[in-house]
Amino acid sequence: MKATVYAGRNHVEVRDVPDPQILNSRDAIVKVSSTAICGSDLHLYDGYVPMVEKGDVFGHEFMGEVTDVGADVENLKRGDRVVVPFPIACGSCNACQEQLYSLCENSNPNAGHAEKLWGHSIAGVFGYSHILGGYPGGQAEAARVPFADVGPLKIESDLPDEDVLFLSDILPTAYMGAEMCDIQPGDTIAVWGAGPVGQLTAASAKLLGAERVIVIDRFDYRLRMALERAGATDVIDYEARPDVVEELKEMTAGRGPDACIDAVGLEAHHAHGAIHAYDRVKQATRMETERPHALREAILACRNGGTVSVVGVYGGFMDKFPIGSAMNRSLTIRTGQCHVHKYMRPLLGRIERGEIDPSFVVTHRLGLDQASDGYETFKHKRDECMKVVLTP
Amino acid sequence: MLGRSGPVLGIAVAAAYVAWRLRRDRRPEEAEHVKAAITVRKPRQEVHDFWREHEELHRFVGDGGAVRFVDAPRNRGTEVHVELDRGVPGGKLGEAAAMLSGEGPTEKAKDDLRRFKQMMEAGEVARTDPGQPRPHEEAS
Repeated sequence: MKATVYAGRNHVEVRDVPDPQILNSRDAIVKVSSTAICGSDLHLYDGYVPMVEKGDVFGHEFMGEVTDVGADVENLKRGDRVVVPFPIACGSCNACQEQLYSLCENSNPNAGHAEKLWGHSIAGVFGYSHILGGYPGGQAEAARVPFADVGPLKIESDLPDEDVLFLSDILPTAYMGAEMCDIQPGDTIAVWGAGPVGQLTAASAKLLGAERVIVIDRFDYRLRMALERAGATDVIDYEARPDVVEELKEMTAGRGPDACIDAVGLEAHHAHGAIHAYDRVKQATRMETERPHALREAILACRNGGTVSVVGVYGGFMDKFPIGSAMNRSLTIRTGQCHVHKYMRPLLGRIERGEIDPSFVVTHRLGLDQASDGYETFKHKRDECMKVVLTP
Repeated sequence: MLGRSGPVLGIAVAAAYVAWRLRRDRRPEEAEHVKAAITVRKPRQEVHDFWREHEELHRFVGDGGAVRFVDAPRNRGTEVHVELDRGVPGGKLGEAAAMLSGEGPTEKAKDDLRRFKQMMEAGEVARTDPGQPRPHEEAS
């Protein structure tokens, strides 16, 4: 079959690889009908995630048709249409029982490596480095899905792929980012990043009752989409108005937003060239693994006693974390890889009832064989790219 | 009275020490005391029985080793504590190399415990190979 494989920094290729096989009795094989490139795939592509090897198959946002199931998978059969959550979760460990699926204790065969980097391991993830298990991903014609009796969500309506594909990652991730803010009526929420997760975070914050949603980015087309499609009430172009903390104070009469959401992660940009250069050089020389401008700003901007919610992906260590601001001002910091399994069914309900339509982020539809173009277009934000969907 | 012979004596002693260290480090097997523990979300009796039923787990702990099963707090299941002496191929040098590669006896014991937990909780051991799709020429 064809699959998108890592071929070195800034380079993916669609290559012929052996078909996936059932290895365990709780596995299924899914023939992929749609798969997307995630912003976090760019962290792999750019070479910022350790233990990514040439030949690894990328992709953790995918859906398709079940073509084979292991002996112990009783809830699925051939021909079922499913969306696959990006974390791999067994359903029976203490973490899964507490619905903390991205912390599954039994799905990462390389848990020892993750423990060395993070102290404890997390769940295995499709196509996301050998630290998270080395599972081949879904930017391919087919994928092996472990614990298929727990993860995949059956789609029984005739909703098109684009309406439900994002249940695999970005919609639940965005929704959890907003949910962690414990939004009260009248709240002002600020969202850093107007990429696909930022857009859906803004939409989720509105859905959860935020009165005002302010989105911060530097690309006009992305800010326009936030206003016109995601329901943002205000935007800040941080290249035109670089003092974001002051801007936010002014917009909230000195209080600051009730909650601040980082939907950017480890490859942020900073309007001030010298500050960007400081972290960019440290990151390039691997003295620091993150460029954390969004997170620093989110902390400084948040109102006293407010919440900072982090759904942008970080991998290792950051410099100059403003712990003094967070500690002295009684901030709550909440974060996590999304516990997708917990959110898929309720969010499918919201999609079916027309409360949210995540498909508005799709700007590019390409064949799987154009994956390399897709990565380049998305990375460099060419042609007003927001979200790339690949069809095998 | 060291006099002029002092530095020479010093070098001789240092050389003898280095030679002794090298001889010692070249010993192929050196036992390391390993402690490892894991929590399994199953009742203590079930964990105990599963362990006893599996011959390979007796070999894993070895003759001098010990395993204890303790109720975990807050209904989290059972804590499995093992203590054993494991040989390190290549002595101290091997140990240093093992530490860098993450393949030392402690890591190995922890991996074994994780697989035990996976078998008990998930009914299978998490795996990604063989048969994992990747280009033929790119060995993992």
